Amino acid sequence: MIYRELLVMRKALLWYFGIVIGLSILALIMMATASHRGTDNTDLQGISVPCAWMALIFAAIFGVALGNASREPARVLWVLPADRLRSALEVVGVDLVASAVAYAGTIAVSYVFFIADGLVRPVIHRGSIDWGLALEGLCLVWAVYGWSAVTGVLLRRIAYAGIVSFPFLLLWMMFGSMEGRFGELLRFPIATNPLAVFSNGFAVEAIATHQFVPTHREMGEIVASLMWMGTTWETPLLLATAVAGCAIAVLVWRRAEVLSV
Amino acid sequence: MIPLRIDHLTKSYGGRAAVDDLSLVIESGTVFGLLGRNGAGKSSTIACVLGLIRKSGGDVTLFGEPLQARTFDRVAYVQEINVLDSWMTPHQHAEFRRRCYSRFDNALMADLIERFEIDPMRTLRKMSKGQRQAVALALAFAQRPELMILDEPASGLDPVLQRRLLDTIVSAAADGVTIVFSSHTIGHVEQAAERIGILDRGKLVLEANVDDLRASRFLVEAVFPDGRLEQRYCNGDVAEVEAQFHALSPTAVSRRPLTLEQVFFTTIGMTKEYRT
Repeated sequence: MIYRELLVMRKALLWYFGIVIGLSILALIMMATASHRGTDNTDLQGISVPCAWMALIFAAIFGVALGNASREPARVLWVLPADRLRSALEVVGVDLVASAVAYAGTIAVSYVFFIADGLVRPVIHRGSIDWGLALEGLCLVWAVYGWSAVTGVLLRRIAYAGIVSFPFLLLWMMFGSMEGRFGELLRFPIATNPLAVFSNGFAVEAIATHQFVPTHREMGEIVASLMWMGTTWETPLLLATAVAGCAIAVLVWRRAEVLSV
Repeated sequence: MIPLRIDHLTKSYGGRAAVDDLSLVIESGTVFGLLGRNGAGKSSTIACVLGLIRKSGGDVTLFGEPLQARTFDRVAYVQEINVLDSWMTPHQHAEFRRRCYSRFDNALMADLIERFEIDPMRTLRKMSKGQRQAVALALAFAQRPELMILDEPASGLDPVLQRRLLDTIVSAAADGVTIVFSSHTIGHVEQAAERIGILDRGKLVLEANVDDLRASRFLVEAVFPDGRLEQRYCNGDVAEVEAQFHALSPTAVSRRPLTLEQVFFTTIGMTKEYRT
């Protein structure tokens, strides 16, 4: 079981890193050829944030391996001499590791990118990687994987349905900032929206550090509704979302039937 | 130990019974052919047996116990729709199976791959439908199962590969493997199966030994002086039918054993389709 999933993830990671490295080289060429005025500053502390956003797209697309129309392995996996629960946990385990590799690899590629950037134009690199933030980013990736796994397993008839969760989470944040009862209803459970939770940390920090107040009142309400987390609860909350999402997906998959007879 | 016993199996989809109170016992070492039209319930029966869909009622036991994960070490399944991952090579598929099935035979796999003329290092995506089906069959046989459940195994195979498949089935049966296979190609069932079951609208309408059918089912034809030809299908009552024809003063009365195809059509009540 693990062997097959490792092959799946190896293929997915090759695609992913091909795209990430390709985009990095393209960006480097564009920066090198652009006209420079003075010296740029690059803060390495926040490097893990954009990397997490890149890796969560990987997790949403490729990570969800529990059977759906695009990758319906159920007919093969469910006739293996292995318990379905064990099979599902193995699949999810490999996917989570692969998502972590995608994230760590993206940070590594970004780091190399900034070093290379410093070689082709005048750039001052400040700070170093914030490992606490990096861990929070990893939990964000896993939490989005959890959501994707649930979406993917519930919408099994749609190919690559797991990716639906990503725009869904974004729309949830957006509509959650609407005025009125609808917005309030969406804001009520927003602590389970990993994108909102992850963004909240920065908003709270910005408010504390720069006395920044969100100009959009309802967006401010989202931040306010998550203020109870401060800046230390995000990571465990994201991890809890990841665990809950994976657990629900595994339980649904255990009881699921093949898509067609 | 009975490899497969089905007791009063029922599967309904929204009130419509796809499998209706089906009972069947498959003895060890038998090649059992399951025949039926599209939607007769063959694939639903197989899916219920393997736990791929939940049955609505009845019991299924494999090797004397309800289906469990460990049972699959003794069971091989090839489905009509080839669902093997197309981005993997036969070699990778074999490696995957080898890690899962305790009796997976690499040497047999290599032999079957050669017999089916498959390139083991080529991804399935680059193969024809028939070649992919051949890979699925090779993987199933290489598991060295005690029970094989094949749903339309010859689907997509060319005539040469179909012949080799039937030979492989007969050879596996000679080694004591119990084989249940469904097919729309009655000729395949006739060549390979010792026992058949015919499903019609979810019900098992006939279960018999192929040899018994050949010995008991006849088409009796009578030609009358005005050139009229009368045909009647007989199930064991051939002498009686012939006597009835003789009483009508025909010019000739003859009998022919029914082919399995004729048995199938008469059993599902479509005799008109087969009248000459």
